[in-house]
Amino acid sequence: MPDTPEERPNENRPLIEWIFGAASAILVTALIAFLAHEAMFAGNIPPNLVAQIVEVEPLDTGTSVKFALSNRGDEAASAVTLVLSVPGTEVEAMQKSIEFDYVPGHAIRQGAFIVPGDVAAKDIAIDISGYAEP
Amino acid sequence: MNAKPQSPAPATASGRALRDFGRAAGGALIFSLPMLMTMELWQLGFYLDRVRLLVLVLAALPMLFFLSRQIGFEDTRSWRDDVIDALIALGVAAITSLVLLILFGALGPGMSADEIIGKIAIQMVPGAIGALLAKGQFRDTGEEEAEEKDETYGGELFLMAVGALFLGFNMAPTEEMMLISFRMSEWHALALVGLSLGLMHGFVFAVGFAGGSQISQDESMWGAFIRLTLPGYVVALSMSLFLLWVFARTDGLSFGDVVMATVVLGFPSAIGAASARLVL
Repeated sequence: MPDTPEERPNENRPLIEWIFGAASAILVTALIAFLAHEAMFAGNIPPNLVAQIVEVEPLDTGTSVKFALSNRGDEAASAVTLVLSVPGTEVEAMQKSIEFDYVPGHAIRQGAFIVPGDVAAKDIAIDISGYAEP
Repeated sequence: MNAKPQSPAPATASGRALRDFGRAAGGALIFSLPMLMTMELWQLGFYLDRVRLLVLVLAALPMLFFLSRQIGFEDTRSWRDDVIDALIALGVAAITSLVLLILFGALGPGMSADEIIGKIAIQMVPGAIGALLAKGQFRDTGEEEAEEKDETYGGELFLMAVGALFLGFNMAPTEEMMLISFRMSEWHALALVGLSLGLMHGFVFAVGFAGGSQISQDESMWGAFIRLTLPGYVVALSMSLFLLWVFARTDGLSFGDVVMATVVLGFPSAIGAASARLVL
């Protein structure tokens, strides 16, 4: 690496370099303003988790129960465990669980349970057993 | 400039080609080894959306081409040669990844072609950067004149982008990036933006890692900050956002969470951008 940098005073710099610099300054200022606004005025509602069945689809080996897990709170939740229960009508009663590593605030995560036999949506219950702070 | 290590030049063309291939493979290995031994990268290889993987490889092609214009593992002159260099670098990186992933047991019988190709493709980009840069590290003394290329502003920002991509690529697929962003408050993020800018400026201005030719001794600290540090940070944030999108880390996140994750990944990317001359 050269020890003596090329002599180029500020005023001889091409205009495009200052335009790039000014545009970047605007973007970084906008980023800082957004973060500062969020820091001062954004809410801190704890995780508010809601699980909903999206689709129940028969498979060769059973039934796929697709669900959406949304976090309506502001804060992220970790180790979110969902438990699917089928009380037992035409098929044998069962419980299955899935754990999500993280569900950020205002985010939606999707997944699916696979249950044996032919199960209807009305016979399925999905509960959230709890979460931990990240 | 430090003296470059020298090795006896092979007498035959095939000997030189073998030596160049060895250098390229060595560079690919050095640059991609941390990622080859990261579990998240193996998993991304089979579940990552193929469109995003294609975008990553297609975006890497022009980047490798322009990188070859600066530092190639063949002493190229024409644009055609640089295209060939970029493709060879990708090929060498693919072979290196294939061999290492088989040795690590990450590739084996029973895997679909889609999974094997996905796992190799995702490793090709950092490996190809290393393959191209290998010549810069092991260049013969007879090629010293190539060091005296005029540095352009665009070239400087481009090298910053490659440095940001390289360091960001190491971190973006890991769970820790997201975990850190979830644990941080916006006040932490503001402090991290300040630290990123401060460290970048330290590298660019005080230490002079940004190439030396772009900053005059007469230039004020604020002049260098506006011309190089701020655009460099925007480049680092852009590369971070691109990598987070490629690795599906932005999916299902709110705008605020995407900003937070970008700022977190932007920290190593900013260091990579500012120290591009040191790393690359």
